[in-house]
Amino acid sequence: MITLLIILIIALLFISAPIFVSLGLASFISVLLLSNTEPMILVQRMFAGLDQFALMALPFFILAANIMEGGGLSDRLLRWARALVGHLAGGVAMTTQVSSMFFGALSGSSPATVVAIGKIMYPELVRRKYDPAFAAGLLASAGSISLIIPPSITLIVLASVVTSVSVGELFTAGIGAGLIFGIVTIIYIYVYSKKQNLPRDKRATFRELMQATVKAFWALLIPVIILGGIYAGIFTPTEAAGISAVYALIISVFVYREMTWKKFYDVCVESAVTSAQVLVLVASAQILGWLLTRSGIPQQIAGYVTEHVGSVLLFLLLINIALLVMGMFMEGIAAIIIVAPLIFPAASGLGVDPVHLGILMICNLAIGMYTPPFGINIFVTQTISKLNMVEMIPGLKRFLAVQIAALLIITYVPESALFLLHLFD
Amino acid sequence: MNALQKGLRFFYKAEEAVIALLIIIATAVLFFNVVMRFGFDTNASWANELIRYAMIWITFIGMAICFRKGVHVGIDFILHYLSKRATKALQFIVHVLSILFLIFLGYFGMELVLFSMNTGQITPSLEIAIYWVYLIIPIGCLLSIFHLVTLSIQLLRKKEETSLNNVTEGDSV
Amino acid sequence: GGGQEESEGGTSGDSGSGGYNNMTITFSHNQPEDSPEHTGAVAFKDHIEEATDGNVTVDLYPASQMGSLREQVEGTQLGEIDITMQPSAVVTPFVDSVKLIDLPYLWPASNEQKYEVLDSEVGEELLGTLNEGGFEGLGYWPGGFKLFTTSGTEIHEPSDFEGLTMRTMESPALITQYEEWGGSAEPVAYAEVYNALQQGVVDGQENPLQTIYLNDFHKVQDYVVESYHGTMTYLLMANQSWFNGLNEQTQEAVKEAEAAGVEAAREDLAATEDEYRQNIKDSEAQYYELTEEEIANFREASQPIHDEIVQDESQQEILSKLKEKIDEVRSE
Ligand code: NA
Ligand code: NA
Repeated sequence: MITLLIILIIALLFISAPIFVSLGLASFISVLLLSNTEPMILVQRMFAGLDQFALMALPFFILAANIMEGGGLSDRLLRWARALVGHLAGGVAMTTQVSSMFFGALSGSSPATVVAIGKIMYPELVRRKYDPAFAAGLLASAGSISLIIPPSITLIVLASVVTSVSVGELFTAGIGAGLIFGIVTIIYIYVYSKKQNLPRDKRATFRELMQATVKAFWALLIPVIILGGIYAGIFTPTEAAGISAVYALIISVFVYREMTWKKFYDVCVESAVTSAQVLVLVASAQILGWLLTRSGIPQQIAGYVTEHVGSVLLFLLLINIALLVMGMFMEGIAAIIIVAPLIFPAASGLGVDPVHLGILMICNLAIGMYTPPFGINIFVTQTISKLNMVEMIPGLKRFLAVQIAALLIITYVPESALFLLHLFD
Repeated sequence: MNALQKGLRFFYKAEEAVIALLIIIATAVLFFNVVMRFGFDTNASWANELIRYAMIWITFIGMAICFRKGVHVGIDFILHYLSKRATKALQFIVHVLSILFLIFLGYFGMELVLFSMNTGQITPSLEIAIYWVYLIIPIGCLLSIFHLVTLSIQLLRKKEETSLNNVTEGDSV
Repeated sequence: GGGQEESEGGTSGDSGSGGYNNMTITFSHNQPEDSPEHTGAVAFKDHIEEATDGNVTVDLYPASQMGSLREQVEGTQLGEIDITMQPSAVVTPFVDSVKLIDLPYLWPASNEQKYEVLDSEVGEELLGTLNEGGFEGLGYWPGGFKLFTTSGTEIHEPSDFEGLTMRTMESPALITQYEEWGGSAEPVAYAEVYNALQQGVVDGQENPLQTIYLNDFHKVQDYVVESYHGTMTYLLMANQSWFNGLNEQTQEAVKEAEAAGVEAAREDLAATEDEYRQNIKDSEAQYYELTEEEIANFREASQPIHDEIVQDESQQEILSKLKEKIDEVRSE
């Protein structure tokens, strides 16, 4: 049945059927023809894919980002960021990476990060003569960091599946790993931008910087509200998203006066449609993940790999490869639920630190968010950039190479991610 | 503009109004629940559930709107290598296959609705029958099929191409 | 194809050797592999596979691999899962009567006494109500007593819950419990509880020792209060038409395996509880055990809640039988 399923999915994707239709239709046909499975269960799985606390933040972050954009907040933030770092080589690209990291620190949702940052930064990157593929690759990969940097729903799910690690330990290790990913990427952006000799801004005078800061003041409070709210333990990411949407609305209607009620209505429609665009994908990914779990094939592969490997270094390398391949086709949480219970016992037999292994898993799955053919960040970036996947691939490849370098550092220098953890001990 | 077109336009506007209203309601409930927590040390136990279900309704109505606007995400590289005629034919095939999927989803979605009616499952917080939430699945499928049929008729009648995946955005967005 | 066709080919009830159905049972639950619950599930599997000479095999899906708690119950109802082990609270939205199990301060503060009531005739009667939702109740599996954990306020009496929001499982009865004590409740998904506690979305939660310890809830809470206010009782339940489709001999084998499983789970729970309690005591959280007097006050304040929650006549009937049996066991 899985063979038919995979052939059908590839065929449907090839003739350019929407991705969620490809996954859904292939699943229904395979199940109806070749299995006794009750087809209602497929509908239940799609529903289950959506009925998650974890996903609730998504529409609100989309709404907040759209209001910030429509209400002139994004614009003012951007001018401020440009005054601050625009004169550096790759300043705008660095701003994208750094703000994705900040956003990742307040969102457990990788696609929401891409939407929130991308809506603002993508047009700006392209206007500043960055190659659109580079810009799209940057966005899709930078967004994946929100899986690694806490709070991260994926980390919590992992801790709930593998009881030998605690959520707190994984969160602390996530900060270290997220920083490695960020720093390696920023170095790459600097080198790339220098080489490409991309146009830079004149360094802003102190007066200009202050003016930009005053204009952006109300907008600058948003990250403070969100970050402060979450880390002070006041809001969940979902609530922070909702509050930032309401706050942005108030500022754009009453302070900046750039938002009419008609415009607000259009923003709501657009945000709801964009949410649906992403959420149907999440729902259909759930069916696929479930059919794979039931087939037992991923378990067999993982079992074989762990059985025939003796050395820790080789084991970690193989895990990285297996997870990278898996991440090409699957969504992170589904992959964790299938793989984690199988590799963790094997890893403890080999003496691998479970927190280290856990954070490596997350880093791999974060990369999987933007590796073709199936990566939600790619699809979300498509909706922003209007590039198709083939056009995006050159850019995706660059950042894949960069993040794999970061992954190797974390794999072979465990302290790079775990130092904070050991600091607290 | 004839009566049919007027009717269609009204229908499209109504569809959008529903999802806009749902996202506004969800945001308002979320916001006031936080206010309640800080101002009054209390919490509406049903708030989360209402927001999640509003999101699910948005998803399935939004699914239909995405079909109408042709903005569902797909891997459409093959379209770059085909003639206009072939593209049109392929788009028609994809519409038919999408309709087939929606028939499956809608049919078994309706079965799930009927099953839940018989077994009487309620939602834990709002304590409403869960089939009210499931009902949006067949409804969303019907709306989607309607749009796809309309698009297919346009595709066959007119020379112009309609976009399939995520190429242009619709009129009001 | 994968293992799925093989496993499902059997569920239609082909007869195998020795008079047993030849089949694979899909068995799901929520707890990790090192939990007493899983120990019980493994004992179930080992017992039935040996007793039926391998005619019946079991595929175990622990740790919510088959979906969230609600989805697993629904999956069993739909016939996709043959047997699932779920907290009674989670089954309540499907079969209202099982909410009786979660009434606050219904049970005596002893696992043994509780087991005795559950294993009695009225326990059987309550288990039989699962038929209303299309389930066959196979037995009650143990999860231990629930404890309150809170931040800011140490719980000594019901009014201490005023101004607190407690996380509960997805059960209307548990929400009512905290509302009647003067607080509010919110059913946060299991995987989100740690975060919700840390971020103060909820001020506290209730769970047994092992769940608190294994999920580090005590690290994000100020107080852990051993309250004996309620139990985590799992219902081991099968899809009813699947179970009725088995031949008599196989049904017997399932029941015997259930008995072996529940015994193993009870033993393992008893063996690990003290260790988890000690670990929590050694942590930074304040550990407090309600005094006899405080428990008595709580118990008295909770009786009106029973009447508030249980309004259906046939449920009231079962409840009074339950209380009768409980009194009988307690006076022994
Ligand atoms: Na994050
Ligand atoms: Na991928």
